[in-house]
Amino acid sequence: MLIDRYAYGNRLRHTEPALKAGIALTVLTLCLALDHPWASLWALGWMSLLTVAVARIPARVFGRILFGESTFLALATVGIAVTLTVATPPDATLWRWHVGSLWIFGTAEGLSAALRTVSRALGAVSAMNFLALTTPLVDLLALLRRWHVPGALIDITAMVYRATFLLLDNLHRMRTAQECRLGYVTARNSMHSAALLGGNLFMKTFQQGRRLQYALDARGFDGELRVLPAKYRSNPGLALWGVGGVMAMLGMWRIPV
Amino acid sequence: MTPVFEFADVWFRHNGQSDCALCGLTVSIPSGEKIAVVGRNGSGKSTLFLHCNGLYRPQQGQIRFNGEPLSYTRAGLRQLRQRVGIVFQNPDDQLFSASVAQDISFGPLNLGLSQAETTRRVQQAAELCAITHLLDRPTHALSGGEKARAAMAGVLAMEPSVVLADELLSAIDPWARLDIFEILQTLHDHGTTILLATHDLSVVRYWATHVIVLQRGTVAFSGTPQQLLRNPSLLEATELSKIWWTVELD
Ligand SMILES: Nc1ncnc2c1ncn2[C@@H]1O[C@H](COP(=O)(O)OP(=O)(O)OP(=O)(O)O)[C@@H](O)[C@H]1O
Ligand SMILES: [Mg+2]
Repeated sequence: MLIDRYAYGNRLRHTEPALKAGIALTVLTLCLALDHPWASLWALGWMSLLTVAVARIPARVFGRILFGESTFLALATVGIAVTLTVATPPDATLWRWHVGSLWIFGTAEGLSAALRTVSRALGAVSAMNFLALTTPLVDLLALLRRWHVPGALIDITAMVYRATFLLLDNLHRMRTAQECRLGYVTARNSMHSAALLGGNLFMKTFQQGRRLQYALDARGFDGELRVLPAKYRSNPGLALWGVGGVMAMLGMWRIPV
Repeated sequence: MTPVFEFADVWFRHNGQSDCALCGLTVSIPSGEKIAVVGRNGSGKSTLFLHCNGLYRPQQGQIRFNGEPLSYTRAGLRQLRQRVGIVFQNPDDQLFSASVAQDISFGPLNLGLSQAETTRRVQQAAELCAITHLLDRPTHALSGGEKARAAMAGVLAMEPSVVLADELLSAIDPWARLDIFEILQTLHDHGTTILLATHDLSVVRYWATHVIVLQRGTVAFSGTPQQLLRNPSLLEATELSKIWWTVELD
């Protein structure tokens, strides 16, 4: 998994996760609460800068992830910018289009509402990208533990995370094994192979889960997955960046739209 | 000396299986030795190991550990697992934590050790297994041999007096194998009993001080490597002559 790989290999890997989560959550909250396009766009640019320039995540990777998210957002907000009616549209439309008995049109308000939603969402999403790309899930879980989220919940998340990799690994191996034996040469046998794979993948992962349980028991598991907390470095520079960015964001908020 | 383990007529059948995996297995496993456990696929090596750790329970028969019958109570199992460590055949079954250091710390923390002591043991086990440079890595981003060594470190950090390793060597390159044997030698020098499931003649011949041959869920032989290798009819009977046809003793 791409995100996981960068989370382990970026410049902010050893930075105190509370700081990174603090910045990301503050920016996220501000984007949602201020609901101000300039502040949101500022958040987008600034979080991207932190991710690319400070954490040194390749711009290409960050761009690809953001592009995927924007496409999804754009599709979701088309409904806000575009109106579809059978009635004749009001006079104040930016553009209109008559198809059969149907009117498709957009108004200035609709467009600005859509842009507002997109920028707000992009700001929020870029804050989450920053956190996800710089902080491995283990660190986030450890942080949640420190914030007194119930242990069972965290253990389950940790196991699901691990199981996901096992599942993907199994999937990959089994699929390769099938391909080597010409399992996917025709559409017909592809279907057959995929069905076999699905059934076996489940059984295999289930059995692996049981063996994992044995292995945990063998090392004295008693219901709680205790492991050492990771060691982190404080990062005053990033803290300054964080405070500065948030101040700037609040400053933007004063700009009238 | 009291044997570490004594199996007396132990029977075990896996869920839904009609054939027995252990079929009246009787053996006594000597303490402080380097023991090679050999036998064909499906002969019961892994099943035997899982019994030693109390993960499987005999459906018939009895197991003694240091002269005492195994206790399957919570406290009994806890005590047993504190002293008997098992490195699994497939390290993926064992590594669960996202980082190697955290995975190694799991056992010691379960023993109730302090964080400081646990940190020390993690470091020590990692040094022993030559994986200090991997401590920060996620466990899913390791090669097969690195995984095997991480799994081994997770067991050694608990400082058990008996180490069971189930085909530990299969994913490990010849150079790293030398390292592993060095680790095992160090453990042996400290009095640890080591059981290694293997198919490798050279392990039996040059490393082991005791050999147990399993055949269809029973013990076909238990004794020194010399006794085994100097006995052609026994090698024949246990089918070992087929794979070890190059055996030449000096
Ligand atoms: N989870 C299971 N469910 C059902 N049967 C099993 C299971 N595990 C093992 N068996 C059966 O029990 C018998 C002994 O298996 P075991 O895994 O102990 O053999 P092994 O000597 O370790 O073999 P290998 O060299 O292949 O690892 C085999 O016949 C096997 O088919
Ligand atoms: Mg086995």
